[in-house]
Amino acid sequence: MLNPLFYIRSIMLALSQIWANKTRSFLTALGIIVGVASVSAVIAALVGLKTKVLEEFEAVGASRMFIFPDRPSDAPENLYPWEDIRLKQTELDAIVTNCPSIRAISPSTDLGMSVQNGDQTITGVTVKGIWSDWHQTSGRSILIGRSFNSIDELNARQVCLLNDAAVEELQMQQDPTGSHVLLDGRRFLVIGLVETLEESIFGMNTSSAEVFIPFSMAAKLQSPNFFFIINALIESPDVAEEAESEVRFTLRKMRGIGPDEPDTFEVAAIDQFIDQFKALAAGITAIAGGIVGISLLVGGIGIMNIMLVSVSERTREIGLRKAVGATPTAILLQFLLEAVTLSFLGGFIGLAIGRLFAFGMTRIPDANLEQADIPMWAVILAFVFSGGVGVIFGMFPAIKASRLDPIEALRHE
Amino acid sequence: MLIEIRNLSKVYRVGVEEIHALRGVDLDIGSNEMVAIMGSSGSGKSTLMNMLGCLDTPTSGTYHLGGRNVGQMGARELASIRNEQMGFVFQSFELLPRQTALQNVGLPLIYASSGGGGSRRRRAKEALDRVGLSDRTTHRPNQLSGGQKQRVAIARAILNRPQILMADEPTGNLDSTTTLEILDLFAQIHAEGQTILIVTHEDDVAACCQRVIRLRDGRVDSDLPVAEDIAGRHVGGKGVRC
Repeated sequence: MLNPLFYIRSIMLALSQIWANKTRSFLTALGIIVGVASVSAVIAALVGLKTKVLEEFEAVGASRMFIFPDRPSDAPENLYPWEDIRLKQTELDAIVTNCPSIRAISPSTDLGMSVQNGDQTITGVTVKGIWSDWHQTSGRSILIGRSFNSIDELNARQVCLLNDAAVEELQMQQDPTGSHVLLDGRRFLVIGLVETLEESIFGMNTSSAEVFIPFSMAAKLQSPNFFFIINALIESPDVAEEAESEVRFTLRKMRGIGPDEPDTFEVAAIDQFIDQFKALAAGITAIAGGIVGISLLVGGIGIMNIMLVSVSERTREIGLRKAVGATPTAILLQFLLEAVTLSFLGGFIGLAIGRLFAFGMTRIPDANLEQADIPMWAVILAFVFSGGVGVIFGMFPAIKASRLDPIEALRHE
Repeated sequence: MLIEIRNLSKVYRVGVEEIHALRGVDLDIGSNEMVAIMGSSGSGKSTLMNMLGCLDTPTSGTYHLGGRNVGQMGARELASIRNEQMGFVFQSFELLPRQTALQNVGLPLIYASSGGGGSRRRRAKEALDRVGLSDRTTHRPNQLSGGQKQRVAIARAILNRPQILMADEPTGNLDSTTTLEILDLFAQIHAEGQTILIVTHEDDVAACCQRVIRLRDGRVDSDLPVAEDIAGRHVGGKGVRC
C-alpha cells in the first residue's frame, strides 16, 4: 500500500527524533533497558548454573540411586517414629538378595571422631562406615593399597582408609598403608588411600580430612538406633524403574506396609534430582520473567507517555503531513515505527548490558558460573518482547495522531 | 469547470451551539484561473478553503472537483486527492525543521502511491529550480530567510503538478519586498498554466489576481474580475504593486 520510501523515511525520522532528544529518549528507554538487561543476566546465570549442575550429575553418573527413610508427606510425626522407619541391617540384607537390577550397593553412615597419628590430632573428622562397593557407587576409587574385603566386614576389623587431606593433616607418608591411626583412642590399621573428588557444588567437597571404616565396625561404634542410607548403582539407566520397584517391593514387604498405606522410605534416582533441578530452574526463570514483565510494563508506560508528548509537540507536523496527502494509516505507522524503534534500541542496549553482566559472572571465582551465557532463544525473546512493548504502548499515541483533524492540527499552537 | 460548488454549507457544533460557517455557497472556478478569496475574520473564507482543499467535508451541498464528487469520498481518497491534485502553501510555511530544503520539498512523494526512486530526487530538484532555489537544496529551514522558506513551501506544493495550488495567507508573515517576490513567483507559475487560489486579507495581494471573491457571513458577497473589484476602492496592504 505504502511505498518503500515511506518506511525508510519513517525509520530515519524516528532515529533523528530519538537523536534530537537524546536525554529524553534515553530516560524513556531506560525501563526497557533495565528490564532486558536484568532478565538476560538472570537467564545467563541460570544457564551457567544449569550447565554446571548437569555436568556434575553426568560426572556422578545417571545410574546412581539412594535409599533412605522418609515419613510420608503430611503424616504426623508420632505416627511414624524414627526408630520404626529408619533403615535396618535386615532390610539392607533383603535388598542385597532380592534386587537383581542393582549392580553395586553400599550402606553409608557418618560418625564424628577424633583421629590421631603420633602428635597430630584432628577432632570432628567425618568417619564413614561403608562397604567396598561404596567406591563404585560414589565414584571414588582406591589410589594406593586396597579397600575392605569380606573378612574386614564380617569380623568388623579395625582397618581404615584415608583421603589425602587426612594424610596431609596427620603428617603421614604419601603412602600411608601399614601405618596405624587412633580413632577415638582405638588403633586402626591404614590399608588404603581414597581418591579425592574435585570440589563440587553438591557439598561433596572432599577437601577436608575423611576416614573410612568397615560398615560393621561403624555399626558397633554407633548408637543402637543409628541412621544410615543406602547408595546403589543400578545395572543401567534403562532399568531405573525396575530397580526402584524392586527396592520398593522388598522394603514394603519387609515393613509389612499394606496396599493402601504410604511408603515410609524414599528411593531416589539421580534422574529425579535432575528433573527437580530443571523444575527449579524453570521456576526461577518464570519468576524472573514475571519481574521483568513488570519492568517492561513500566518501560512501556514510559514510552507511551513520551509518545503522547511527541504527538502533541508535533501536532502541526501531523497536520502538514495530512495536508500533503498522508493517510491516517501512514501517520499511525509513522508513530508506531517510532515507538518500536525506541523500544528496540532499548532492548538492544539492554541485551548488550546483560551480555556484559554475563561476562562478568564468568569471572567471579567460586561462583560456578563459568558457563554463564545468554542463549539465542533469550536474545530473540528480548527483541520480540521489546518490539511488542513498542507496538502495544505505541499504539494508543499513534492512533491519537492518526485521528487528528488536519485543520485543527495545522491551527495548533 | 474544474471546481463546481453548489449550495455548499458547513455547520460546526461547539457544545450545544451550532455555528454556520458556510450558508449555501455557489461557485465555479475554471482551469488556470488565479482567484483571491477575501473576507473578514469569521466570514467563512478559511472554511471554504478547507472544503476546496479537501481537508474538510461539507455538511450539505456538493463539491465536484474535475467532475468527481468530493463530498462522498472517504479519508483515504481525500488524502490521495490532496497528495496528487492539491498543493498547499501556508502563512507560517510549515517546513519540517530538521529536514533539508530538498527533503521538505520531497515530502509529498513519501505518501505518493507511485513513482520510481531515482526520479523522486530529480522531481524535488526540479521543483526547487522552478522557485529559484537550486542552490539551497541542503539548507535547513533555520538557515533560510522567510521568503526562501515560502519558496521551499511553494516548491513542495507544486511538486506533484497539482490541479490547484491553494495558498492560505501566503504573504502574511512577509515584508513588502518579499511579498512582491512571492507574488511574482505565483504569477510565473500561473503563466505556466497553474490554477491558483489565494486566501488573503490584503487588498494589494488580491489585486494581483484575476478574480476576487469576497465572503460575508458564510455567503458570497461579491465575485468580480479584479478590475471591477478594486474600482473605487482604496487598496490597502503593504503597498505592493504588481
